[in-house]
Amino acid sequence: MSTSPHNCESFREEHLLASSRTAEAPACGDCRGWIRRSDLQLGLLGSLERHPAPLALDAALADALEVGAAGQEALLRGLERQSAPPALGARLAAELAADPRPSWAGIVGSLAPKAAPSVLDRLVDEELSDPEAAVTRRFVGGLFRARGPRGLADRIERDLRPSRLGGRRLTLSLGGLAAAVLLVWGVTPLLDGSPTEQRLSFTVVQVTNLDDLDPFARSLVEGLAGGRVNPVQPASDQPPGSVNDGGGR
Amino acid sequence: MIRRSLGALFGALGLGILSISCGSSAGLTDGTSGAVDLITQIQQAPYLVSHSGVRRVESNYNLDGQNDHLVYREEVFTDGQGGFAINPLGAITGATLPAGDFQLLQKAREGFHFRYRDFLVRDLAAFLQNYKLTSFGQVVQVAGRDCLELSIERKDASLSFDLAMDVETGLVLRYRELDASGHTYSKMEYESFDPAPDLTGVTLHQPSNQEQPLDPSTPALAQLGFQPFIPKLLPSSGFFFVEASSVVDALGTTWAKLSYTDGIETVFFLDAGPRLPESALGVGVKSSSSPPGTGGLSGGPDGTAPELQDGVRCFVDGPLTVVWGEVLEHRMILLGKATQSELSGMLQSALPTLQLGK
Repeated sequence: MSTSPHNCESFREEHLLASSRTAEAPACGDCRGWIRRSDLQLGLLGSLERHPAPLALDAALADALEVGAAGQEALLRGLERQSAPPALGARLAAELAADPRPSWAGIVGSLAPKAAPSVLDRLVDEELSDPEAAVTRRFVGGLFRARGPRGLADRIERDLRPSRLGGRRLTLSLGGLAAAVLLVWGVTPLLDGSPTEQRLSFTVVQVTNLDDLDPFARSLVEGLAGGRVNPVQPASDQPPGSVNDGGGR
Repeated sequence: MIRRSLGALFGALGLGILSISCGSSAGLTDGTSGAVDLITQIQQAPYLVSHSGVRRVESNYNLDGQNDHLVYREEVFTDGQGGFAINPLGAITGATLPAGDFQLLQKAREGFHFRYRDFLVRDLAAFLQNYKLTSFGQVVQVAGRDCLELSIERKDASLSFDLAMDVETGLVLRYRELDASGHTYSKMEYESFDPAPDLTGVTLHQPSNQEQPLDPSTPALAQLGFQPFIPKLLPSSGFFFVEASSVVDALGTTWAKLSYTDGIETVFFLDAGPRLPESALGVGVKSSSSPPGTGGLSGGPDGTAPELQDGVRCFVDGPLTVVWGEVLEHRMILLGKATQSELSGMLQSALPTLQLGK
């Protein structure tokens, strides 16, 4: 048998919400007296003659509901504002004062203020000075990066094989080397009196006629190509060994 | 040994796809030793396998802007000890010379054809770096022999080869060479094959160009009679130095011959040294038009590099390029399957720099 302490408020709410009356007697006299009085009120109210609401009321309500949100807002605005009872405010303040937990305002106020990093100022200035460019950078940076074809990677690796360096290191190394070479090339003539070197150049003349080839070069070409037709007939009085091709070891 | 190795290798290949992209991480340490063995067999077979056969050779070329082709047959013999003989049997089409003259010329080129014309893996390391080999395990019949089909492509896509390799001996019994645009540049196919030839009466090749390897420990001047130019820049498509030798042409001129390979193809750099006096030259050789002592240089404008008077000529036929000319009194020839700019750069890198006083 439960021995929970009697709570008049809870009992009375349950009593009012209950669909049927229980025969159990209330625990305290106040509740018994309350029950007698509520039953008497219910009996009196139930004995009154019922009158239907006037039809005009329904029409007025429908009209009121059809005015839309603006109209409803006017209706609501027209209602008299109800303020919370003073006892509620006093009760809330008493409960907060009694709560041992610190308020969030107190927690935040106790934190030491931190200054924003200086780079943030620069970033904000850049953003504000050219908002379109900033948006573009963020947009492009979020795009999917497609990988280069495998053949390109193989070719680059093959061309850079002797150094065995990564792409970025090689670029930096080559850039540094080029800079050093340029520096040496530019500064050295100013520093010493040794003679300078100059590379020779030559022009290349394209020929399309086999007859224009050097005879030895022609024999090599035809040998390498599998023995093309040589319109220049070999001299018949020369022994076969004299018409050689330079590759017969 | 070759037969057992190839038999085991062929069994391992089966119908799978064998593909190696050599030179990077997919090299010898990548579990592709079988493919490397395959390539080694191809490299050594012409020198270690005795055989004979008749083969058909086709060469497509461009003369004065006109495309034409030459097709002929030849009979080949190898003794398995490095000896060989190639006897031309006559042209089928494309020849304008009388048959006897044609066979005479082809026979004179016997050594060159065997060493440089035919498909051959000439350097394993260079091959692994510059080419990729693919096989789908398909077996075809060539001259009655079971052959494995292989595809070899240079990594810069400038050349490719379709091969049929005899499974038992490793000899390439059929190949087709394609240029960068996919056109067939040359073809060879065996029409008959004898793995146990009778070499009685066969005269193996005897070199006729007095080619002698140069001794790297002895100065070139002592061996050649002149100091040859040496290229410092090689074609970018991965060529490596192979050997240096001296050869003598039909007119008795001694050339320094430097050979470079990318694993399959060969680029030659030949230097005949300073030109002899005109009285010692034979018919058909041009003499320099530049004043003596100037080395063929013309005075250039101030601040510009001096330019050579005679210039350099270039002839291109498909993937094959030849550059030749007289440079600083040195007759020079560069020849191979490289671009004109690569050979020109190679030539220029061989030239000495001029010392200009301040």
